[in-house]
Amino acid sequence: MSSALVLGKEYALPPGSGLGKSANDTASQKRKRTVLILDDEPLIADTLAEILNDSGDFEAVAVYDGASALQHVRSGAPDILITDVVMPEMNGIEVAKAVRSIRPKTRVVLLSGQAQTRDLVEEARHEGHSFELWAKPIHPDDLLERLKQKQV
Amino acid sequence: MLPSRTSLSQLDLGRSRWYVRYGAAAAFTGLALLLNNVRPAQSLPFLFFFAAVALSARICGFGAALFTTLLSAAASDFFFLKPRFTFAHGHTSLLQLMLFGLVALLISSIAKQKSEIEKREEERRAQFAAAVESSEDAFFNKSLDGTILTWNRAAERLYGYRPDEIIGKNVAMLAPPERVTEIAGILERLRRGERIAHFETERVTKNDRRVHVSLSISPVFDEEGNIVEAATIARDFTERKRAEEALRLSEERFRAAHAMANVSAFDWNIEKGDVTWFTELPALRELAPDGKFETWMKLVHPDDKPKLEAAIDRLFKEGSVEIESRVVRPDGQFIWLSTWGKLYRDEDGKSHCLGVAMDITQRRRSEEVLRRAEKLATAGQLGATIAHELNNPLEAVTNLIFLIRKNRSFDEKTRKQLEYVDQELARMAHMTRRTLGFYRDTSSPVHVDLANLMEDVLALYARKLETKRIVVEKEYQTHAEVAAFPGEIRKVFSNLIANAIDAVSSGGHITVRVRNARDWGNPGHSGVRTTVADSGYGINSADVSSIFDPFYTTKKDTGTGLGLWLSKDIVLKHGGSISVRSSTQQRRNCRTVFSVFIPAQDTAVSEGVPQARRMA
Repeated sequence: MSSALVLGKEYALPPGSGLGKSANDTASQKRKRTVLILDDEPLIADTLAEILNDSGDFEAVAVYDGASALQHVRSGAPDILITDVVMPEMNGIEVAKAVRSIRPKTRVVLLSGQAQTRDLVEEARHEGHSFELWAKPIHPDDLLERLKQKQV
Repeated sequence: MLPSRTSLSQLDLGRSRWYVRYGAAAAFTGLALLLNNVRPAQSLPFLFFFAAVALSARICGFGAALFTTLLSAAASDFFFLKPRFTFAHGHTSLLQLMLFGLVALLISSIAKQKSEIEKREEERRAQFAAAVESSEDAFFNKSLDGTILTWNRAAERLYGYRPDEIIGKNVAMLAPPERVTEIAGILERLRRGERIAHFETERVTKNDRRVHVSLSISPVFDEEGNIVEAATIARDFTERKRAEEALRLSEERFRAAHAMANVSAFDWNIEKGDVTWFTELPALRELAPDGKFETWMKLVHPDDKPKLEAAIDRLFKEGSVEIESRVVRPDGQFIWLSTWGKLYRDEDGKSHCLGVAMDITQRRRSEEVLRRAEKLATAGQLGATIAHELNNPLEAVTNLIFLIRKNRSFDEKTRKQLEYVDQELARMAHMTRRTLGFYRDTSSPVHVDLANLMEDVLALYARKLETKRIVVEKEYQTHAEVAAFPGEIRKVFSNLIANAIDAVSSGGHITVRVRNARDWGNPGHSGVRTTVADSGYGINSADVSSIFDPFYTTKKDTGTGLGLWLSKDIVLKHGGSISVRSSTQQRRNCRTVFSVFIPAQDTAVSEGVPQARRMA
């Protein structure tokens, strides 16, 4: 049950049994978790950032292309990366891999409205990357709920 | 051939040595002389000598007869003519002698002729016997009780018995056991003087081989016209029979091949207006019992009539034609025929059309299915593309509405309206995700609570149900869990609910039950049974039987005819079963009941896929 990519499965899993994260968890409970949001559509990226910031649990920053995202990660790595997949220059998976190379523990959530991205994610998974793939559109309530749950 | 009767007339010395013949002639003359002396015939003095000449002629031949005549003349002259014992006589006596000589000569020549005729007859008989003996046809004679009397070489070849093995035996030994009684019948007919021609039957040879023979049997009469025996000619037609059998078999195969290919050749006698089919196309059986061209034309689909008439014109102009057209059966079904025709003239100069017709209904139907499937696939692709394009704006709008709703300054009414906007957006999101196939998202079955799934589906149709004021009664059992692909099962439920909504009229009822159960067809399997019952117009039994077939729809304008077919497919894939029970009679709230059983554990792989059951 290590596949976090399978939508819906993560709900069924009992909490805990993580990778010895207890220290991390207590730390993150004190401070807000940082989120980097990447989408080539500014309206989506901005609204998502606002929603996350409004929730009071996250500190979110919105960027609109892969280069800015990587620049941002170098200056201060986020806890979570939420990224669109299909984008003009770098696609979301390339960005995610680059982010992971800088900060391996980054939780990566791929948001996609296109079914074929599943294949890309599957490919990445075979290369040893575990990315979460969530279907777009996702309701903000649902998004917040899922982010609050622990990554498997 | 005839039984020999010994008599003087049968005695023949014609081929004996000359001294025998002439000796016999002299003896006859001597006998006549003796008889004449014992009892002299005064009125006819030459009577005995005439007899002697006749006998000589008959038995000893012409020369001997002349010899007898001379001797007799001399003897008569010497012994009986007056004056006796001298050869010197008067005028009268000489005349008498000449008269005797003439008559004797006449007798001799008649006797000679007769003997020649007999000789020729005999030669002919010998030739005939030789011909019979060497004939290719078996030839044998039998008495009227069936005893075999003669037997030629061909008979030996045919039946295997040598003449010495069979002559004197009864002809019944040639008949196979089941045909022995036939012999008595034949003999009876022969006794009545009947001739039997070309009687085809079976016989058994010496080495037990069966042969097909054609028998011609004639009665043989004796001189008095009595039937004495029967002559049989037997012709072996085993080879012909075998050839006939081979022909029949090949014709049968030809017909079978035609039937399998759904092809039949026909001949249309244009002048008489008759259509003769060489084999039968099952779909056309009994459609035009009179075989008239007019009757066939009446069956042609109205839309195809002009096309067919044009084709017939072309046939007359160009000599041959090819056309695909429809025939409408009385039950309203179309039969697609591909017909090829060619004009020819028969030996009387009458015009005919020789043709081949092929039933291509099945092919046409599958082409239609393919065409529609392709159309659907295209539509599906288009839908997916549109959904893609919609997802991003939807995401943005959803987020915006979410942010707007955070604003507390709106009044109650606006907040309510914004909530509706949010709900509708959620519905849209649901639809686009569904179109994209995001629900086929698991690669192995997961635990699914079917009651929850059904609730989801009903939520999707909430607006529709509300508009039609449909009362939904729900009966859910808790823990109605199975291992399944939730997206797939959702399609099945969605289909059943959509069908139920279409079926019921405004204000109708839909009853949904989800409960743990056992498979009806396989009580060893436990799982979850979901039933969707509606108070709609019901399904008539004819439709029920093909309701799970692809492209079968009762909703002529709106249905694709794929929903239930796909549903069945999905259910079977899960190792479950789907069935329908419906009645058009009034029965409150449940005229049509669809029942879906999904086993708790997927059994499809281990136990094979069960068939969908139908209850009607």
